[in-house]
Amino acid sequence: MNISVESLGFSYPNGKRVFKSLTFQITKGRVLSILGPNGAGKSTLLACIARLLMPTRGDILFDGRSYLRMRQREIACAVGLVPQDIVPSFHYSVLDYVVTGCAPRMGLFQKPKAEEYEIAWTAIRRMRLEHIAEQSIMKISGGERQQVAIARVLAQRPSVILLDEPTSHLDIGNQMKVLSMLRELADDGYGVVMTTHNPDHVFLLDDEVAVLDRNGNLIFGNSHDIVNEELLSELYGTSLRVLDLDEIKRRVCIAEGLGENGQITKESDASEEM
Amino acid sequence: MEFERNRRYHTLLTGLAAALAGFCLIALSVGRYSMNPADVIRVLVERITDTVPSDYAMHNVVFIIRIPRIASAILVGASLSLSGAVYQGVFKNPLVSPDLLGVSSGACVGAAIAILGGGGMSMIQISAFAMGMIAVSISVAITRVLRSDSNMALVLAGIVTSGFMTSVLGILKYVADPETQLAEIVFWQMGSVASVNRAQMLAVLPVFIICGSLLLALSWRINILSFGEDEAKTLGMNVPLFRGIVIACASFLTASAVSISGTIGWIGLVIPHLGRLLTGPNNTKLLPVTILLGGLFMLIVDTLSRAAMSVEIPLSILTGIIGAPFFAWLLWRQREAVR
Repeated sequence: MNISVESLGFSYPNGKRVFKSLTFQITKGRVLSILGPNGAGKSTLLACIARLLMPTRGDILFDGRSYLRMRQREIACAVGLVPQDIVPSFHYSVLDYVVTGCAPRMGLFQKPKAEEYEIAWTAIRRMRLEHIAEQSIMKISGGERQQVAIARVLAQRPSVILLDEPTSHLDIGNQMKVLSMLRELADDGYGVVMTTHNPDHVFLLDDEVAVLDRNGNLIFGNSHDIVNEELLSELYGTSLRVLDLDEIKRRVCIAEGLGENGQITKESDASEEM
Repeated sequence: MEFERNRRYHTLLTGLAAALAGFCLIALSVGRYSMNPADVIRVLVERITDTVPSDYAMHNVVFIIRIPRIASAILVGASLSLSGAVYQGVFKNPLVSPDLLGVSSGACVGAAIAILGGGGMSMIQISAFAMGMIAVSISVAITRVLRSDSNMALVLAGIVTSGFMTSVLGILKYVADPETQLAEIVFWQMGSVASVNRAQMLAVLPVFIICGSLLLALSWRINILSFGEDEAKTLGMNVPLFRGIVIACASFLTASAVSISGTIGWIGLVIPHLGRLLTGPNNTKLLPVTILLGGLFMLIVDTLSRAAMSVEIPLSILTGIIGAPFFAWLLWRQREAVR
C-alpha cells in the first residue's frame, strides 16, 4: 500500500497552527525519516497519519482512497504506530502485550486463540525477544520495551510502520540495532516512517527524508539530494558541518563546536512537541 | 507453558466455584435458626423433586429468608468486584473503585429521598438505582461541557459529582427526622442485605446477567483500553464508544448492587487486587476469577455479620475491618510493584 499525504494541515483547537500544508508520499520498501528540531510537529504529523489526531486541512490517501472516509479499524490494518514509550499500568506479560497487535483483524467479542498467539510468537522471534516473552513489560529495560512495541506492530501486520523517535531513549548500540531493524523491515516490503532529530540517522539510512522546520514547512526528497550543511544549520539554529568520510563511505553531521558561532540560538530552545 | 498456565487457571476457577458452593451450604445452615447441612440438603432435594416438605419451618427459612439473602450477597459482591476490576482497567489505575464516577453517592441521595418521601424498600431500591445512574450521567455530561473525552476529565468530573451528591445527602440528613428517617438513612448507608426479598433480588438479576456477560465478552478489549487511549486507537478501537459501553455496564452493575444493599466499601478495590495476584492482569482471566472471589468474599462477610454476634453487624463495617488490613497485606505482597 502507498500512502500519499496531500496538503495536510493541523492546528490545535486553541488556534495554534503546527503545520499548514504538507505533501509527501510514503512508499513501501523505503525508509522515510521525518527530520526536524524539537517542537517542529514531527510527533503531531505521525499522530495525524495514524488518525489519532484529525487533520484540520488536507487529506491522506491510502492507495488513492481518502482516509477521512475510512474506519479506525481499517486504518489500523494499514498503519501501525510505535509510540515513543509505552507506559503500562499493569504487569502484562510481553506475550500478552504483543498479541494485542492482532486486535484490528479480530471481531469485537473475539479473544486471541492459538492462531493469534502463533502470530505474536513469530513477531517475538523476529525481534529476538523469546527470552523475555513471559516477563512483565513493566520490568524490562527501555530498549527492550521499544523492541516489544515494534514486535506488537509486526503482529498487527500493517503495510506501513510509523515510529515516533524510536531511538530517543536508547544508547548508541541499541540505536544502531533499531536502525538496522528498520532497514530490514523496509527490505521486507514495509513502508517505514520514523521521526528523528538526529541528522546522522538520516545519513545512516540513506533513503527518503522529509525535513520539517519550526514554521511548519516541509522539504521532501532523497536524503543525499536535499540534506546539506546550510539546511541543517538553518534547521537547528546552530553551526553544523556535514563531512564526507572516505573510510566509512558516508556523510556525517557534527557540530562545529561551542562558543560564539556554535552557540545554541534562541529559536532552538523550544519546548518538546506534543 | 501456555497449556500449563491454562490448566492452573481452570483448576483455580473450579476450586473457587467449589468453595462458593460449599460456603453456600454453610451459609444456609448457620444463623439464628441453626440447621444441620444434611437437613439443608434434604430440604433442597425435596424442593427439586417437588415432594411435600417434611419440615415447613426449615423449608421457609431456607427458601424465603436465606436463599434470597445469600443470592443477594453473592450478586452484590460479584457486581462490585467486577465493576471495580473493569474501572481499574479502563482508568489505567489499580487504586480506582467502582464509585469513582459518583454512582454510590448518587445512590445514597436516591435512597435518602425515598426514605424522606416515606417510600418502602422497593421505592428505596428504584430511587437509589436511578440516582446512581443520574450521578454517572452528570459526570459524563460534565466532560461533554468540557469538550474532553479523556479519562482525566472523567475522573475529575466524578470527583465534582461525588462531592456535590455528598453535600445534597448532608442536606437531606439535616432535614430528616432524627428519630426515624435519619437513623434509616445512616443504616442504609452502612450496607446490609438482611431485608432483601426474592422479588428485589430478581429485579437486579437481569442487570447482572446482561452487563456481566457483556463485560466478560469484552474482557480482552479492556486489556487494550488499559494500555491507554492512543494505543487503543492505533489498534483500531473506537475508544469513546467502547469506553462508554464498558463504563455504562460497570455503572449499571454498581448501581444495582448498591440499590439492594446500600453502600459497601472496600470490596470493589480489594477483590480485583487479590484476583490479579492469582491470575495476573489479563482481564480474560481476571474478570471470571474476580466475580467468583467477590461473591465468595461477600457471602463470608454477610454470614459473619448475621452469625458472629447476636445483633447484625452492618456490612460496610465488616468489609472495612477485614478489607483494610487485607489490602495492606496485598500491598505488602506486591511491594515490588508499588515501590
